[in-house]
Amino acid sequence: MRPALRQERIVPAAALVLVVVAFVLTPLGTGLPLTTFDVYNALQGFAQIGLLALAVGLTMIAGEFDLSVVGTYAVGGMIAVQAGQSSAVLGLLVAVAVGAAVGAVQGALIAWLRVPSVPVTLAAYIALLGLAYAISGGLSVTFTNRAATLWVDHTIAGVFSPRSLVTLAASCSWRSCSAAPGSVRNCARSAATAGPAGSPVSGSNAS
Amino acid sequence: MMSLLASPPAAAARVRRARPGSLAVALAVLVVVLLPVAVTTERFLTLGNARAILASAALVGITAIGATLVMIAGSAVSMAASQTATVVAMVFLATLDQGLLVATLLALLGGVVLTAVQGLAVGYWEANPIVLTIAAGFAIGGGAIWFSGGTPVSAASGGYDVLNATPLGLPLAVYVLLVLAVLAEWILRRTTAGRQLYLVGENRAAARAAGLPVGRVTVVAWAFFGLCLAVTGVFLAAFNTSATTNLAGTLTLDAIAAVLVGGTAIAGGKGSALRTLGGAVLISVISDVLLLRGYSTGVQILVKGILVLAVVVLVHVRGRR
Repeated sequence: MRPALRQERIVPAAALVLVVVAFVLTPLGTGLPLTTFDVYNALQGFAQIGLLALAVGLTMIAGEFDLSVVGTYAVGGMIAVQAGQSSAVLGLLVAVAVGAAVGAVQGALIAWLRVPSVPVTLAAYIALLGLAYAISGGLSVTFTNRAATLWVDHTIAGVFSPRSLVTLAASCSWRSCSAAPGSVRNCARSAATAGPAGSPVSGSNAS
Repeated sequence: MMSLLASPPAAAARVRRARPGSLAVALAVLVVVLLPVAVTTERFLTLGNARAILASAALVGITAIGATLVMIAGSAVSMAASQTATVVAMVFLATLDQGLLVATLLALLGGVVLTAVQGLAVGYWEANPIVLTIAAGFAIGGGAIWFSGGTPVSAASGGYDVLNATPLGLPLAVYVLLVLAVLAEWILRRTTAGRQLYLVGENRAAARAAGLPVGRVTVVAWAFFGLCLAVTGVFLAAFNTSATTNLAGTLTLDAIAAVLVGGTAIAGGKGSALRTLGGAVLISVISDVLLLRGYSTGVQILVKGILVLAVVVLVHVRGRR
């Protein structure tokens, strides 16, 4: 138990340190000094996939696998644009509500009917891609609210933007939640020790 | 291994009975719903449309037949199908100047080796197939970009036209699909290797305890899948006459959808190649009806996803009883 736990912390920490070191050393390869914009840009890239990775990670810790995140992401974006033409906040709220509903329906099938997560989320992924395609007519949809688009990416303290700050905040709050008693992580642990393993494709088999 | 200790698992006898009753009921319901809609659709009941349905099911179907064996063997799904078929198509086109036979053999070899290696990691080292194949998909897709330099790979010479032949008005790929489906079904039902596939998929630990070569059985399933992927890639290459990095499109998802609609259980141990064939044709028929009735591509994909979800839930709920 103890060495496994330590490995669980050391490997991601080492990966993070490695990435930061590589980032700091990039001037050696490019011959150009690092600027605050480089840091801002790197954080924007992090924000691009950070929330998606959190979503997949959450399901993996619960011993399942969500293949539908990219579908939910696409539909969420479409809805935020369609519903947010008059008010960006309204679009955001509708998109988040739809995303939560999409996840809850899949979660209900997986938890209550005990259908394996891979085929459920795969089918949902196909359906959601179709839905995103149907909403947009296969074309890219432009968000006309320029003020909101600019606000999301405007620089704060040189290196941050609302986009990257939201992702960082979500990562940090998720980190503290998952350590709390009754969290997904602990539920998955007790489930793993209590009963026989469920599906052969469960995401995170430590041993 | 320790074959002295373990008696043949009792599961062996019932594994191959896959509850045809409940699925037949589900199929009947579907036909009752689909049939009136289909026959009242203009131009549905024409020979040309029947050909179009089979032709559009052919390439996805060939890949799905291979994916069926992987799923039955308990290796769930491969997320690297599109990338593998694309690389195979590029190899085929680039080596065509060596002659059609050499190019085809090299392409088949490439597909089998690339995929069997993944089967090796799953079968012997218990790698999680989904995580592994997502990673492999990135690596193979990167290989495709490297191989092609990011530009379309065009045929090194002609000679592939024979693959685009349409004997009796049907593309050659349709006949290959039928042959592969029958071959896969025969392997599954009538050979020792096929029976072992079901046993390994049903209960890996028990299969290992019974002395079955779990690793080898898994690799054989993946190698067959690689063969099917390579055949798909060769037909894709011949049909498009050049290969770009996104040649195979949504092949990965479409093939898995066909396997799941055919009623094969994701956990393994149950399923059949002929039912996958049925799944591929069913998806093709539904897309065709929606297309003829003027629905958009998005709606076709949406309905496909809902169909897969419905079948998955149904198969699971029925399977638990």
